[in-house]
Amino acid sequence: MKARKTVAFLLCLALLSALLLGAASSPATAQSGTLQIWTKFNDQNPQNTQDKWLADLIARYRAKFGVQIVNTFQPFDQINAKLNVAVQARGEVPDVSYVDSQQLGFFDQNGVLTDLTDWVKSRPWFDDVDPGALAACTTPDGKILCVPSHTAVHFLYYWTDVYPDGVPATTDAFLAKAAELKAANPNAFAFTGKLAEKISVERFYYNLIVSYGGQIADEKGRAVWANEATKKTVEFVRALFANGYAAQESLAPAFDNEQPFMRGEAGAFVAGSYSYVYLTPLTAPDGTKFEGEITGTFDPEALSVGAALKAGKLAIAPQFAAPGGKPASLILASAWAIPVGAKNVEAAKAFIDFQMTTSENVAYSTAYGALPALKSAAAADEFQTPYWVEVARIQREFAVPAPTFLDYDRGITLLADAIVKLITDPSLDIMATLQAAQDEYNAGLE
Amino acid sequence: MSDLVLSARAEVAQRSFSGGRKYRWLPFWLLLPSLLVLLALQVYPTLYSIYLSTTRVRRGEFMHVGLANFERLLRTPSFLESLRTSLAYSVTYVLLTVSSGMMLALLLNRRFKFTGFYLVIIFIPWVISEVVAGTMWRWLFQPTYGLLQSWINMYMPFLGDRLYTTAGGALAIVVAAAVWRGLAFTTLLSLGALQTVPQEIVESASLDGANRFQRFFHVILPLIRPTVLVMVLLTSIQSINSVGLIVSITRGGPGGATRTAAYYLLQVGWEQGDFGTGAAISVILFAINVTLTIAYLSIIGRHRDW
Repeated sequence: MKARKTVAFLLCLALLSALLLGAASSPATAQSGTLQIWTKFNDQNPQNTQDKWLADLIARYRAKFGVQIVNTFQPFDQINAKLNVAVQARGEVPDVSYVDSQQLGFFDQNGVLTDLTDWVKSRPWFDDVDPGALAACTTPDGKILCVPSHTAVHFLYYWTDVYPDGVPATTDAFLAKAAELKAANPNAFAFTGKLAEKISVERFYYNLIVSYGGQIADEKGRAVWANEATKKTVEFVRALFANGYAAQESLAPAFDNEQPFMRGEAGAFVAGSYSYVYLTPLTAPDGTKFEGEITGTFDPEALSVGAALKAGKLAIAPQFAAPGGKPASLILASAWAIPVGAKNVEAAKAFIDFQMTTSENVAYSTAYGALPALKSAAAADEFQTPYWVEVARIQREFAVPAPTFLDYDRGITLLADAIVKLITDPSLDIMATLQAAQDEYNAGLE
Repeated sequence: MSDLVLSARAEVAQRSFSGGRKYRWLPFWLLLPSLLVLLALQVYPTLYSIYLSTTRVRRGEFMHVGLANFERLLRTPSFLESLRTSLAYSVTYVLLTVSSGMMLALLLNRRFKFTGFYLVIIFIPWVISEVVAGTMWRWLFQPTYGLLQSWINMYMPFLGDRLYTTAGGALAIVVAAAVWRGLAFTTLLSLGALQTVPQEIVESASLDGANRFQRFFHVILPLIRPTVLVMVLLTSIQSINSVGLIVSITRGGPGGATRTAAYYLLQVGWEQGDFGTGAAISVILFAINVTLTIAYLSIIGRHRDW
């Protein structure tokens, strides 16, 4: 019996040891010469230009500095929340992380990011950073919490066969043109785009609401979307769906909304300056195919969008605006940040310094499909093509800053859901539904 | 052997297992590894969730807010709507999965040709991952080129040409996918139970003039009722906690129409990083599951003579 007791005791001991050893040998433990980063790019299994850029960067960085970058690939729509979770849970946080600037209020409220104000101001590249991009990383009380790499804006891609004179500039004119197109071809759509889920607010609804003279958040971070501008936006979108002008895929989850445009069935597609990376292959409405391939950087000859642009079949334009209003285009900055609790802060700063050299900023921005945050990089030849010149013009003339929600994801999710409900159930009262969603958001802040 | 000797031996055996100070702690030592695992992986996270549900995070600091998260949740329209969606989803799922599984099991229990083959066919959806199954169902109802949507457009236009992007249609698709996947589980359980029903009882009922329905409802069902209740309990818990299929088919859309309470928890706790509220939702779901379990188990216990 004594033997059995001993065996039981040894089993317990073995179990405890295994648990303790397992915890101690966590794979993310910092090692010298290693830099842990989180990005939304997959260097292990590159699928697009951004993934390939990161794989190249890791190799270059190791060759130049002898530091091994270990990248943890995070889903694009979860990376910000996961970073917050890691910091709050006092878990293994990366040394550097990709962050979206529109989440700044959320990060600030939760104390997720290290304050980089003094360090950023002391860097040699500080004066070269575009003020608009830097503003996206600066809190209302002046703290710099991230370092912007590049900025993206939102606009329309359109087939010139469908819109030979360009996309109509106002919502009224667009509806009139859409009616014409529907009469000519009942199976075609005037428009497609991401009109459901939270991203739809960034890509489409917010811009339209601003062009109607409205706002969705005030300076205190509270929701104010129950207004006439949002109501007019909903009425316009209801008309798009009620008449079959917008493809139903626009309300589908994930990225099904791209398909009608890529097949040439929809004349216009609302998206970001980064979206061309994913628009491959493309078929124009007249059947011309533009087969793209993934390259290390944006090569207008290689990718589908580049080829279609060169052939004159595809063009870009600011999103249509309210009658008499000015188009609006949400500007978003992709940035690097050092989370609270990072183990290797000096190595993280060295990495950001390297990223903020002109050549690296050009490489990252071209691969991502966005305008560089460094003025010297924006002046590079890569950004003097007709596509980038037009993107820069849209940014310069129509960019609007991100809504100042204190709880960003919750705010844009509630607004998107309210609008989609109003589209799918036309009997719902617009103002009552918007007000209910707004009250719910504001109640959550108390 | 006399009764006296037998009684003495039994007493010795009894003492060696449970009596005597020498071995008093042995059961504890033998149970300890399992208890430690249970504490680390089940009890601690549950207790920590309850603790988290009474906190909120502001500027990186946890603040105690008592029951404020629960109070706020019960006043939040989108959460209440997600509970209603959960109820609709669960009731439909449990009814369809259990009844269809039972019907299939009754068919398979007749032992016709290729029964094994049919069982394999029914079992395939169960082994497919939720994400793969969900993506497949999403494509089947894709508005422009979805195979099933095209058939609906041709043969059943009254169902609508945009099922996937309407509130009711999207929920119906999610339920259909879940039933398709869960059918294997209820079919196998029902088949196992049906095979324990003594044939002579069923035959006696036939001889007494009972028709097919009477035999099923008055003879077979009462005999397999404990299995049916376990099936209802497990499918109820499964449906209340279900997230994978919803994520891969509709992501809770359109406009929150398929956002169940479990998906709401995922959104609030994970996507929006609100730990306190997320934990409060998990505690509410836990309470619902525990209540259901106690209710079903008490029903089973009350009719132990079945």
